Amino acid sequence: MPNNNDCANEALYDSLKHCKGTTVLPGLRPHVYYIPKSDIVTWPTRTKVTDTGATMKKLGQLTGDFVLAADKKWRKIDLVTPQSNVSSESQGEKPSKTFNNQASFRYPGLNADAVGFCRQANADDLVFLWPQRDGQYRCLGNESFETNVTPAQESGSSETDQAGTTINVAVTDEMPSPYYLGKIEAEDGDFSGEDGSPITNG
Amino acid sequence: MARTRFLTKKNMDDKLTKKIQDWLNTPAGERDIIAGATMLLQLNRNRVMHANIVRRPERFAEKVEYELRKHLKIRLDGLTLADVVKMEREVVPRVEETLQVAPVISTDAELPEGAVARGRRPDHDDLPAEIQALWDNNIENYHKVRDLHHQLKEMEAAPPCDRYEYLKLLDEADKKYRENLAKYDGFVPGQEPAADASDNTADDQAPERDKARINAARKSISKWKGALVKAYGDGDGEKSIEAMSKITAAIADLRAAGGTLGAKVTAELLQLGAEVGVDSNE
Repeated sequence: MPNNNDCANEALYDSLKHCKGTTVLPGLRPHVYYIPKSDIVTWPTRTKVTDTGATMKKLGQLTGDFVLAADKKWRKIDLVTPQSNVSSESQGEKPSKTFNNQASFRYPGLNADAVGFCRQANADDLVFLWPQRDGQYRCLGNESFETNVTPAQESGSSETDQAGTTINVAVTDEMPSPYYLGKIEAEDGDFSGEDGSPITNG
Repeated sequence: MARTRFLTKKNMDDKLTKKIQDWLNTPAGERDIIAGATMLLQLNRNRVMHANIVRRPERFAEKVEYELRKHLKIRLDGLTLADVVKMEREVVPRVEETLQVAPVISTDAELPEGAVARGRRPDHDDLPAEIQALWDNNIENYHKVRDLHHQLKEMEAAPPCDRYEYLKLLDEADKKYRENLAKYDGFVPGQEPAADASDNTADDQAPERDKARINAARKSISKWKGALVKAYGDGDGEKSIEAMSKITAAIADLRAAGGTLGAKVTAELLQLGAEVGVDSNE
C-alpha cells in the first residue's frame, strides 16, 4: 500500500554511531558567555527537516552568526567547573512536546559585581553560550521562549562550607541545547563556536 | 575639551566603525546593500527598515548610505548612541538653566539694545575693551543656544542620531557662553585681562595660515572703518552702507584665512554698528 503521508518522506533519521576508544569528555570548560536577548539583532537559523540539504546532524546545529547590536559583546562568566552542569529533559504532551533545558553555573564569588548581575538577570531574558570540554559551544536560549534565570547566593556557615553564586538557567526549546558553529564576538576577541579558535579577519 | 567626558572608547567597537568606513568607501555600484543594511540594523535596531531594505535593496541603497554616514559621523566623534543619550541628559538641563537663569540681554527684536540685562557689571563701561567684548559678543552665543534648544525641542520625537548634530553644536555654544561670562565676571580691574584677546597672538601661532591675506584683510578693515566714521560724520548713507559691507567682507576674509578679530577692533566696530560675528576658533 503506498504511503500518502508527505511527512514520512521528510524524516531525517540516520544511524547514531560511536567509535570505540574515543572518550566523551564530561562537563564544561571553566567559563560561559551570556548576552541580553535585547542586544541580539539577528539570530542564527535552525534547520528544518524540509530544508534542502538538511541532515539529522544539521537539525541539532544553528547555522549562521549571532549579529549583535552595535558595540555589544558576549560577556564572560568564570565558572567552578565541578559544580556547573547543563541538562536537558523532555517535557509536555504530544503534539506539543518540547525540551526543558537547564543549567547550573557556579560563579566562585559573592562580590558586588555578582550581586549586580543577579539583580539584573533575575528579571531579564538572557542567552548563554556554554563550551563543552571539547571546545564546541552550545546555545542556551532561543527566540521563541523566554529564558528564566534564577540566581542564588550562599555565604556558607562553617569553615568547610563553600560560598558563591549559582546561576540557574531554565529555558524551553524544541531540542536539547543546540550546537552553535558561528562567530562569537566577545569582549576578549572574536572566536569560532565550532571549536573556540580565534577569528582574526573580522 | 570637556566633551571627552562622554568618550567611552572602551565600549566602542572599532571593527564596526572600520566596516562602515570600508563599506562607504566602496564604489556605490559595488556595495553589498544587504551587508550595509545589517550594519544599519546593528546601529539603529530598526527591524522594519531592515526588512524593507532586504526586500528591495536597490531602492534603498541611497537611504542605507545616508544613514550609515550619519552614524559614522557620531562614531568618529568617539561616541556611541548610548553616549549621545547620556550627553543629552547632561547638556539639555544645563542649557535650560542657562536660558532660565542668565539671559545676557533682552531678545526683543524691537529693543536690540536690551531692556533687560541681568548680569551686566555696573562698571561695564570702565572695563577694558576686550572684557567688554566678552559681554557684548556673548549675545550671539546666547541666541545660538536659544535657537538650538528650540530646534531640539521640535525634534523631540527624532532618534538620537538625528538630534546629535544639533546637540553637539548646542553643547559647544553653551560652554562658550558660560566661559565668556565666567571670564567677564571674574575680571578684576587692574589685573591682566582674563581673556587673551590681543590682535595677533593667535595668528602668529598658526604658520599654515595665510598671513599676507590676513594682513590685507586687517588693512581693509582699518581703511573702511575710517571711511565709515567719515560717512557717519558727513551723513552720507550710501557711503556708510558701502563701508559696512566692505568691513563685513573683510572680516569674513580675515576669518577664512584663519585670522581673529581683536577685542579692541571688535568693540570699535560694534560701536559703529557693524556686524562682527564670532571667531570660529574662539
